[in-house]
Amino acid sequence: MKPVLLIEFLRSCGAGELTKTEAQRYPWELLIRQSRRANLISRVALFLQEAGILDDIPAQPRQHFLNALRIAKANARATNWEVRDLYRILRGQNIDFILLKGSAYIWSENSASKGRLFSDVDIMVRESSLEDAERVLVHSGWMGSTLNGYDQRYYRQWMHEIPPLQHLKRQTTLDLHHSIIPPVSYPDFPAEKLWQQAIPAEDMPGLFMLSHIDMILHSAVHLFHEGEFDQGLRDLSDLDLMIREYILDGDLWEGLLLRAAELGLELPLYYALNYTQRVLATPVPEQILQKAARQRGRRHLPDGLLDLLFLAAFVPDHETCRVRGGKVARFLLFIRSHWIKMPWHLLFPHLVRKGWLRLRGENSH
Amino acid sequence: MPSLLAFQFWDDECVVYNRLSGDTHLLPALHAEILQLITEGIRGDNLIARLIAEHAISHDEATELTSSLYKSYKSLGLVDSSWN
Amino acid sequence: MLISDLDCNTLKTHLSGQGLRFRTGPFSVSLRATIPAIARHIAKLYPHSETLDNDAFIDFHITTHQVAGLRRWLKPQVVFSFDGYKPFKPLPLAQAAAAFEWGLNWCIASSSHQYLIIHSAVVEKDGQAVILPGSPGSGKSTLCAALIHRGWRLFSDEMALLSAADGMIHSVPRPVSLKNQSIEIIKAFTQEPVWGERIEGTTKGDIEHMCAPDSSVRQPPTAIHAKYLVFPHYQSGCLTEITPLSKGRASMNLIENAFNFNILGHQGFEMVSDLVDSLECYDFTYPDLKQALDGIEQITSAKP
Repeated sequence: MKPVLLIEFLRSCGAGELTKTEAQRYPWELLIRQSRRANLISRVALFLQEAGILDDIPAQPRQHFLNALRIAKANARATNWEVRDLYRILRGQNIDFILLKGSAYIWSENSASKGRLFSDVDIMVRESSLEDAERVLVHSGWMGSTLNGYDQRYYRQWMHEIPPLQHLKRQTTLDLHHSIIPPVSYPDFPAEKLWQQAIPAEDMPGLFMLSHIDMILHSAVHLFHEGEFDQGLRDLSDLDLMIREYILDGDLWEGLLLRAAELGLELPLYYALNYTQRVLATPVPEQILQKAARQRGRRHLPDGLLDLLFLAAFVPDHETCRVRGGKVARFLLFIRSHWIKMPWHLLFPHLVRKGWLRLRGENSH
Repeated sequence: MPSLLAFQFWDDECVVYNRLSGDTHLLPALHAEILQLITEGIRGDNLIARLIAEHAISHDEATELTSSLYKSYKSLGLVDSSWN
Repeated sequence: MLISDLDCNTLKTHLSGQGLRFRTGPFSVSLRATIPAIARHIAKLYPHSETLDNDAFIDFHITTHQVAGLRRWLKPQVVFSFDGYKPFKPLPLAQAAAAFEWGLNWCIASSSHQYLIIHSAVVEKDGQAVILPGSPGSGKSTLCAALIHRGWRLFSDEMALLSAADGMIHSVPRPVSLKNQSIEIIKAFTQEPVWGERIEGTTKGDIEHMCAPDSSVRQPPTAIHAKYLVFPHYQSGCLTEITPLSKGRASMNLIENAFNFNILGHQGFEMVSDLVDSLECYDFTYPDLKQALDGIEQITSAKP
């Protein structure tokens, strides 16, 4: 595969070699284009700022990075405001909740919050308070979605979250979860174990983050099971940053493997370690990778084929680096995610229905 | 830490920007002054005393005004016990 | 070299090949498009734009292509793409030029946060600039089109770029977009301008783009301190009314008309406060174009 500038850039960030960049001669325009497409431009800008070379970049490309930093800052402000608002609403009913994904990264200001852009807020409540949470949120300006009966049933029956809610005024989308993995694919996932190790937020009783290790595992599940590869490289970069921050620095490799086994998430963890290491040069020790490979259970597809699909899907879908078959790879991974989620007799009618809607130009979830 | 609210007074009006919510509000200058005092931690009887001393209003008027303003500022997210 | 210096074939070769690279206001654009209507639109409406070399930095890589697939035979469509990102659903092919204009607006508004971007026309005469923010139906573009044929210079028809660095309004003199009845009103008002093709049945109604006159775009400066803020309100049959607007109200209205106030946040608030502090602000209600022009002259010459 031809080297991709954005991926080379991220690898040199990880290696701490960014300061050697020749700021006057680097192909900034290409980096801006690829990183904008991959929704990584703000993160790239932040890395440049941290490496102290932003000021050396010629004015025109520098302006794009500065603007991307502004976007990230505004995004973080808006996210934190949503979290405060949710806290006010749910706290009033004594409903505990855990922040997930981007909103958790930003609230806890961890390494994956760096230049992280996203549009949805994700939270998890205990399954026993799901109905109460939905009711009080709907009463407080979070509208239920207008999904049709089929989609409503699909979510409520098979998924680990209810249909997305949307704020009446701010238009923010809220995903309300009761687990991190669809019950249809993993019927007895022990979500209560996530609560046992969750970290309480400072000065806000009832608000939690997943433990560092669980945050990584959730990120891995999300990326490798949910099949949304439009932002594949961004999500892989989140994993890379968190593995470096939480695992590498504390030498918690064994703890990570054990926890994955305890939660039954060995397979997504293996993929996370394997692909962060291969694509972004995350320093995963060889014996850890081998151990992760041994302990992963059931495989859905042969490794060779998955390599082909994943490695293609992590390359940004930009005309300057797009690999042949990238679109097909993303589509197959999308099918795969549904295959993992659902038994065949449910999957087939579901995909046929989605395909039909797509042909008619209607949007489904 | 910089103040969470930014105030721009013009004549008898004031525009207030909330750094947390990103919202902007247009208030009569007196109401904005009261908001400023509240965010500085001046509340209850102290606040009422300040208003009577600095503006020509009665005790009852001051009491009513501060309590109704406090309520509406709270609902707008301009004041909150958790960050004041 | 200007776009008007390119012959028709060279222009088409660039557009269908590596991209036509040109400057509009402070932005550099590379446009690829095989649709003939886009080539005609660019040739007619961007003649004053400077073309750029292959090694010039490009802010926005844009394509407007016909949507492929079976549908192209039944219902031909155009899709706008900014580095592979498609902000809008495909539009009917006949609206290709509008798709380009809206798409470029989108590129600027979504990524140029060195400016506070206000939905507004800006015109200038004798060093005095007027900001004319426009909610739909205010008549902002009609007024702007008329003013630039009465000695005013076009700074911008669609967006005022207030620079965070210097507090000045920067010029981006793109074609003026007129809708529905405004098209006939301006055609009756002046024979002078070059018009693009009529685009019918868009979500905003019928549209025609008007090229700003030479006198209105060529000479410097490209940035200026604004002096007046006028909110136009067209109301058929009313009396002309010029009402001073309080600075507080003016700030709120400006913020409401800003595309990226939420991105600039506190800095945006300070920029608006500084700007409004230095402006004379008015609400301006008018019944027709003649009264509108008189009103603007009145505001900017003597005290109303």
